[in-house]
Amino acid sequence: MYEKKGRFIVEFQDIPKARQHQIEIDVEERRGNYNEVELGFDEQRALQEAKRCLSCRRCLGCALCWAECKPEAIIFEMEDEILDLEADSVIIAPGVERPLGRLDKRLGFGAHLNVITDTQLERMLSRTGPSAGLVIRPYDGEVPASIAFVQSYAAASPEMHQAALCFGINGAIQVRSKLPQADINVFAANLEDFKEAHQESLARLDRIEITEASVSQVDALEDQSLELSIEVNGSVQKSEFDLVVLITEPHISQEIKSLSKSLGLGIEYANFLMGGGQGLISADK
Amino acid sequence: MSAKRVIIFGGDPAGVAAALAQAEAGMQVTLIEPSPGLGGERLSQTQLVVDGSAFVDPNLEAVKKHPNIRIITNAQVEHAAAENGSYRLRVRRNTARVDLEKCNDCRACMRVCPIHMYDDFNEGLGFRTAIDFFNPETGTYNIFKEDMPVCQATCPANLDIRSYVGLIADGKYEESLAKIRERLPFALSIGRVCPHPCETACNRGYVDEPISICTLKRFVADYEMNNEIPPPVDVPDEFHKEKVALIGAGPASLSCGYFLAKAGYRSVCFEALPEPGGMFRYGIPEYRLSTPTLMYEINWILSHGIELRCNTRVGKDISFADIQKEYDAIFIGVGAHTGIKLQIKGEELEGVVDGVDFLRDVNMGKPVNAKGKVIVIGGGNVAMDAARVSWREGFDEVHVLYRRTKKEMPASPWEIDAAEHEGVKFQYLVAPIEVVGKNGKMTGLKCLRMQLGEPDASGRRRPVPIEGSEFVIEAETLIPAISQRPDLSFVPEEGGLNITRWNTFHVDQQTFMTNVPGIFSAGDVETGPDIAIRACANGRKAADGIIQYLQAKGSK
Repeated sequence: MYEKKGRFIVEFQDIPKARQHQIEIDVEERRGNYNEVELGFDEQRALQEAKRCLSCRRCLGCALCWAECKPEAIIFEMEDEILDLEADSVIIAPGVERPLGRLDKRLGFGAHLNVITDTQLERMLSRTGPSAGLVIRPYDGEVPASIAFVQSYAAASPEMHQAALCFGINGAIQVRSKLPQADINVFAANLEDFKEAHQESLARLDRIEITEASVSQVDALEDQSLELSIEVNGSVQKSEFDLVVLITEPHISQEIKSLSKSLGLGIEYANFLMGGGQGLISADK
Repeated sequence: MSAKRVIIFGGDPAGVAAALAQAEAGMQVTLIEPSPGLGGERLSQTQLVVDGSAFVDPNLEAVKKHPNIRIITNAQVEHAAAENGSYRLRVRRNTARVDLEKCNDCRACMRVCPIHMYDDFNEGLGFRTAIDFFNPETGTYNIFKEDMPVCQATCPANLDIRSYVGLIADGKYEESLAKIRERLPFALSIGRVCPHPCETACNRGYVDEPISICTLKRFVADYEMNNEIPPPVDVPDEFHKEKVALIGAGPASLSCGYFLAKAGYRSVCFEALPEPGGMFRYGIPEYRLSTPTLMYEINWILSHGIELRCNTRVGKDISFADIQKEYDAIFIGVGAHTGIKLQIKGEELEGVVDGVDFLRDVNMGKPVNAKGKVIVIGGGNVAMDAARVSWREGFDEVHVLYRRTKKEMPASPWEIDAAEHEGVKFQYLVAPIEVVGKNGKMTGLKCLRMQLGEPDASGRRRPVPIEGSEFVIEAETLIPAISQRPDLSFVPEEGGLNITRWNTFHVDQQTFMTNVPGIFSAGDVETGPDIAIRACANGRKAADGIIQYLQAKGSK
């Protein structure tokens, strides 16, 4: 699937690609009885399916790096450390997570290389990122001439929606400063409150078009540019872009929620972004 | 007065800025960050930055050098509590396996590392090696080795999926099943009914489609049953003298009893209904999990050393106090079997039957008056079960009413699809307001059409009624299936057990002991309505808690 300099994910002939499906009885055979509907796998299917497993692993312990390391800095026996800490007050800077599993498949993330997320763009823009701050298309490394920012979720709580838009449009502002000639469009819904809250800044945007719209489909063309089906005021139009950036829905991670709960902090969903935008929850004893 | 101690969790720019501010104010600051290095520059999420750089760049140098700041990276909070006027945190610092004092940043290790994984620092743009510097700015090298793959970490029971799937690929089915049973006795049942969060998390989903983990588990369990291979019963030669009472014979209790037996503790299981299995037996319809299959599995579990007493309702046939006297520890796993009322007019009319009651009656073989049209209310898996069972019972039409749209429905998508295939009709954006009837019998349901408004606290858009949109659906049967709660009426008030406002027990999340020493609880009665594998997983954890408790008591 990926083909980059020196790095490949190879499709092995003996590893089946397609997911195996269970054997099911027909709908006509189900009425008036309680026969089991799904019949599981036969041996053939089970073997095929089990072979698809990528056996996700990180370090294997092969020790090649250990053999190579001249200053002998690699120590496999190094163990985790347990620290017991005590404090009079706790401050949580939770950040947010943006679960990729919830992305609508029709928007093409994972299927088309030139569809990226807002957090990926953030990394791309950063000087410590994979392209040292260049905005490029992951497919061919070309500089995109047109970029669409697309809201990828149906609805979020008002605070999270504002945070997502802010994050996405800040990305667009950065892209503008790096690519002065590019067409930059933002397609998002429920913009009223956001526009009111950021009236002044929005008036000063440099050729960043923000449209109240929803994108229902992203298809890849032959050169891996993207065709978007955009719904504006009830009518669907198609437009082409070089790069699509999905604006994702931020969530507070489960870890932060349970940490707050065990410390007795009242953490309301999404409220941490309010209160001057510090993004902090604090508690004192 | 000594300096106040502040713990800051999270090393993003906000956390770093807070650390500096607190340290400047004279506080002793500990900064904890889960990733291997302090974060790099981030885009603001709270204000638009039109001039200059939109990046917020944390002042890493100042934080690193400040004498009042201690930085702990690569760390997870394992336990946190607020007590006696202070906060206590137990933190695990994951080992980097690289001595940064010796490392000379030559990158030779990265050139030879054979593992190319998605680059987490760069949000999956490109690849990194398993040994890597996390952030090129900070150069903190570490070896990335997880204790479990993402599927295993997502599974409530933390089943070693990678191993048991690998064993299937090698054709070692019995070894695979044994691997599953190290942490779960219900491979046959869970392999049929689990909504498999592991598959949602599966990394193969990024390439094409996730591995069909659940059905593979079912395959090895089916293989043993269908080939009449006797399932192994491994228990110690001698059992301890202590005895544990299990209240309820569902997935949580039987999992608990299974692991107690494997550790050499006998238990007696009290079940109010005529047969064991709990929601497996009386909630899940036959076409998803047949009784003979379930009983095959339960009989094997019981054979480890669990004595089953059915038709024994605690609080009626035997008192809770008597059990407390007779047994050394008690486990409560009675599930959540009471349907929540719709709270609308006419709910008492004949023809209205709650979802869980309806499923229980059908599963007990009671005849259903399946005439005319039936309306099921709700969007969860119980509603889907009730609808698909109604269709099998022979109602002319089966309608499911849900107040939001298909997108917001909490039921598993494949259950919704199956119901649609079978001919169940779905009506979205509809809410019931009154059951109408004649002579004490229901004749129809008055409803309102809804539209989606602003998102609520759960992030889902709140349904708002459309004024004047009232209409009546004629039907003789109504099955509300909106949610369930536990029935805790058997618990004596003077027992002192704390009950939450959701009518569940509050337990310690490590030992699963309630506030009363010696009384443990897990399953839906502790979590509220949840998936079966979580009940099984927590039942096993409770067994560990009980064993610890009995050992501590015995050594006194």
